[in-house]
Amino acid sequence: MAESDELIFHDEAAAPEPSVDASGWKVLVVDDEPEVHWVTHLSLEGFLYQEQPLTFIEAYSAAEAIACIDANPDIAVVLLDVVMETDNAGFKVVEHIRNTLANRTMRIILRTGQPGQAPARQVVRDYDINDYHNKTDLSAEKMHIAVYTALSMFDHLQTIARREQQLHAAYAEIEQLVYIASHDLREPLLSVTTLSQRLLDMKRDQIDPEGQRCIEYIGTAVKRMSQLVHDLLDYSKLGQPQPSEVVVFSDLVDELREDMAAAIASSGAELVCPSLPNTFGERQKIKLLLQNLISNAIKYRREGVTPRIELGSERNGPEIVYSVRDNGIGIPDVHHRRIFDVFFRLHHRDEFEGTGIGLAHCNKVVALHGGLIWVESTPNVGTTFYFTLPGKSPGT
Amino acid sequence: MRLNCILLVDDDPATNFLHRLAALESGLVGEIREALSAESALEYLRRSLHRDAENYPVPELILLDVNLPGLNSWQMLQLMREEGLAMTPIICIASTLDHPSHREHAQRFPEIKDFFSKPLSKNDFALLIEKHFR
Repeated sequence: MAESDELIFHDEAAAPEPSVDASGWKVLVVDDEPEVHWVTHLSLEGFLYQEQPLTFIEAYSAAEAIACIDANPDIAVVLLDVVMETDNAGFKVVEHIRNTLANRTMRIILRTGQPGQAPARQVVRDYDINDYHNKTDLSAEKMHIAVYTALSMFDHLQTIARREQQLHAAYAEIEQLVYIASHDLREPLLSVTTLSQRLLDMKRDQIDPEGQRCIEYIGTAVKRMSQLVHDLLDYSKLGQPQPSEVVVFSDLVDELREDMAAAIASSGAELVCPSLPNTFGERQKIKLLLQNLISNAIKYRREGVTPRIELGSERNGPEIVYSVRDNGIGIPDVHHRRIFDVFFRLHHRDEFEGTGIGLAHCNKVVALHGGLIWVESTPNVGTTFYFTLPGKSPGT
Repeated sequence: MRLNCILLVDDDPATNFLHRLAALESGLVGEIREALSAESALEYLRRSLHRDAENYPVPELILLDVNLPGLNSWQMLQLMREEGLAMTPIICIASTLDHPSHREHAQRFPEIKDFFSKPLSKNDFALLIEKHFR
């Protein structure tokens, strides 16, 4: 609870607490020449960042540096020589930090005495190095600036990581709360259903018609509440992350055709699907999104009109805009904004069944993938839902 | 004061049923009509006020749920005005009254005389009729 409180009541304008303890910012100096260590100390004498001094850790080889890093995972900045016991010993240290430890916050400043040995641009990019200097160019002034910049970046990254952790914790707690609430609500609901039904069965001849109606309404209300609880639970489950993958859209559509065969056959619906580009994301959720939109298109058909559902797509930079078009009853403009809200219903329960969670699910799935969903519709002509999903994985 | 006819507007049939019982038990209401949506309430009023008051008695009071599917209560009130149907006092009802937007909306419609928490008891009926129809 404390974590989420901190997040909720955190004053945005307040300065973030520095990512350092009382001993100061740990700086690891790695160089096989002792005088470089000495010069470094001299150049950074009296250095303060957020009123905290530096604490130096010394290493004279890559092997020693790796041992130091393992012992001090909270090192903020590494001042790193490249050529030590081997020509590329420094890069072994970088690989250890970035790959073995998967630490992306530790700042690495490369200092090399043999410029041109490795192309700086490539090294910086390939090894995720934050700064690159020629030893001979590194005056005390430049040294200060380089370390200052690195520390401020380190500090910001730490703050972001901390906030992210708090956010995750708060979110997980909410999900957990909804989950528990929905589970615990089910039991009393079940009792009410069973008990009212028993009352009706046992005492029917002693209860007048009005009383019987009361009991029947209890049954209907409880059934509805169970459905709402069930849907709320589904909605909360949507928040649990699943691994992302390449989703072959045409496979999804084929699966849905099979899953929804009964609804498609009984309504006589025609599902038109040209070849659609693949997307990248959580497969089950994207399937749910598409299923909700298609089943809505079948459900809200016009009487006497064969439902025709047409899928489409358009590329828009890194995203794909998918569309699901129907020839159904349509949605009046005034409702376009609210239809994606949880439990918003456009129709009376007698006309169309449902709790009003379907489009809220869609909205959440699209939002989880960083996309948008919107609608265009003309009453008595049809509706087109558009949603954007990534065209490929963010890493490629 | 006894009312000849009231109109209950709520999408939940159970709520309408409970209000019918309570209104009857109060002994202050003659006829009770029900509508399950804003659309059908509007249709009732059109018939009642413009065409067929015999079969659709003019309501002296409308009990209006603020949370209706489809056309919501504020849109319904707006349409009532536009169609010249806004002569009946309205009592708004809701399952939770603390939603700030309700009061805000209600200020725009002087037809709204009061707010009540659902469901109303027979005493509530007696109270509101005493308060607004003496």
